[in-house]
Amino acid sequence: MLSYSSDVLAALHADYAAAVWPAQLVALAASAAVVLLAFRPAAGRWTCGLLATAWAFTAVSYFLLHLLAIDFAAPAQGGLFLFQALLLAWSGVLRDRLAPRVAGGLAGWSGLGLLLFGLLAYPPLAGLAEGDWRAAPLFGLAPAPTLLATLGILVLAGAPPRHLLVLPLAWSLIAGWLAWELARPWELLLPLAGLGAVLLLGLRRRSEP
Amino acid sequence: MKRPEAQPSQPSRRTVLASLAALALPALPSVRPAAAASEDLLTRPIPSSGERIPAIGMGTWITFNVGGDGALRDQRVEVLRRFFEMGGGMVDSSPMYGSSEAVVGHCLERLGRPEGLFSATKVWTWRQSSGASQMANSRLLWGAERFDLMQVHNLLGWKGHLETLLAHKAEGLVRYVGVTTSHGRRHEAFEDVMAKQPLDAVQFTYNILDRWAERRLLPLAGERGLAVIVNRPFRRGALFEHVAGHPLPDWAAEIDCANWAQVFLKFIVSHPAVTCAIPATSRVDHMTENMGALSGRLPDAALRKRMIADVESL
Repeated sequence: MLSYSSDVLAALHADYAAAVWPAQLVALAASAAVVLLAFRPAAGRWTCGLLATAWAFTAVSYFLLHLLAIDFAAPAQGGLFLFQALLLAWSGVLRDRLAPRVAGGLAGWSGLGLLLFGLLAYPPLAGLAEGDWRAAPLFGLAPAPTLLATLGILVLAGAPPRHLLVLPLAWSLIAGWLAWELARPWELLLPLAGLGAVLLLGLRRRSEP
Repeated sequence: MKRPEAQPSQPSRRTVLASLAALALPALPSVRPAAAASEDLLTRPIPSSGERIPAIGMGTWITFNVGGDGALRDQRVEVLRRFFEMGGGMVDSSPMYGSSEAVVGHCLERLGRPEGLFSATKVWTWRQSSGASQMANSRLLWGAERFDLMQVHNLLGWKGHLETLLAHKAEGLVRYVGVTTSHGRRHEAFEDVMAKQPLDAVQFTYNILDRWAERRLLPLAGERGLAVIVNRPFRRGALFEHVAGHPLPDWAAEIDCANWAQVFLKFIVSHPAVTCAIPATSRVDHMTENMGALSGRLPDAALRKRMIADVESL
């Protein structure tokens, strides 16, 4: 039961992009850093720090400060993103339980593909689909690329703590429902990415001795 | 997948249906001009006072939740302008509808606070203690000193809120009090509140395909002397999909309907217990179609049966 329409959401995204400028420059730098860190062994803490910051910033800036204007459920959605930020900070930064790295193989290349898709391909795709490339959603500023990059990193980690996967998977399914309700077909890629990540991680676990 | 209400530049479901209707009913005038809609408008009395209000109002769910976007707000100003030009009265909203109340307030200010406005909103919170501040905020958003009708949204915390609302009514902060529900929710509790509480109005779903309200809610409202506000008159747009590709039946001319929107609305407001239907739209042309149902003839009981049979058979 959504209280807004797709054109209103697109208008809100345009207003949001204008309101947070020049945060987009920081977001693009963070996107590049996440990709570079994926090629460096033992950089898991830094990667998780960036992911946690991205989830937290999206929670506050996107959900609580902007989407709340049209969606009474925004605080709950922002709460989920904040919780995931805490999980990433706890498990990935404080306990160093995540070690993503580009290591080849089906899961490795797929994880890198998912990461690059979320950071480089999805933003212009979504921006063009909404009719305004300046409103393109970016990692750390909007939920979709933040989700996709996180799924990519989790797949690259090979055997991430399962609790880190729960909310991204749940959000990818929620995003699919939202996409269906609002007739935004490009966002149907999100549940596919979520389910695909789970499948890849499952295959990787089974293939390990 | 649900289709959002199309933009004016695109051929819409309604545009296509209206074209078919025009082919089927060449003798009918298309839509009554706004300026001509000053007399013979269909009004219904609020039973508790006898005050008459136009039988077609306006809902704001989704359609007026446009946030702070200037262009979208300007479009809604025009929608509301047409509503009042064609004799509209009741505008219904809720704090649950995102920015809708703020947008309605913006539109009313731009239109110079139209005299015909019958303001209706809701209180939507679990706690009685936060109800008063929420209603005060609604007054602020609407730019209203008082509301004509304040309703408890979906019976949420209704006992406490009704106590507050009755006190507000005594103080003159609200003229009428009511409760609402939407399709299929908490029927038994709703009936109980209708039967026992000192209400002026109730709001629930009723349309040509969703007629469960005919069994108990509408007769009970008649017995208790309650005004009935009908939400989801188009089944959230699904009725137009149901009749898509079908021209208006011959009997539409007998009740002066030029399009399916008017057929659906006249079916609702021809029920003797119904006071007002509140369709929502974000488009001026749709508003024009909707408000056309405020004039002309209404179906009698025999024709209502035929309307049901014909629409169900499509």
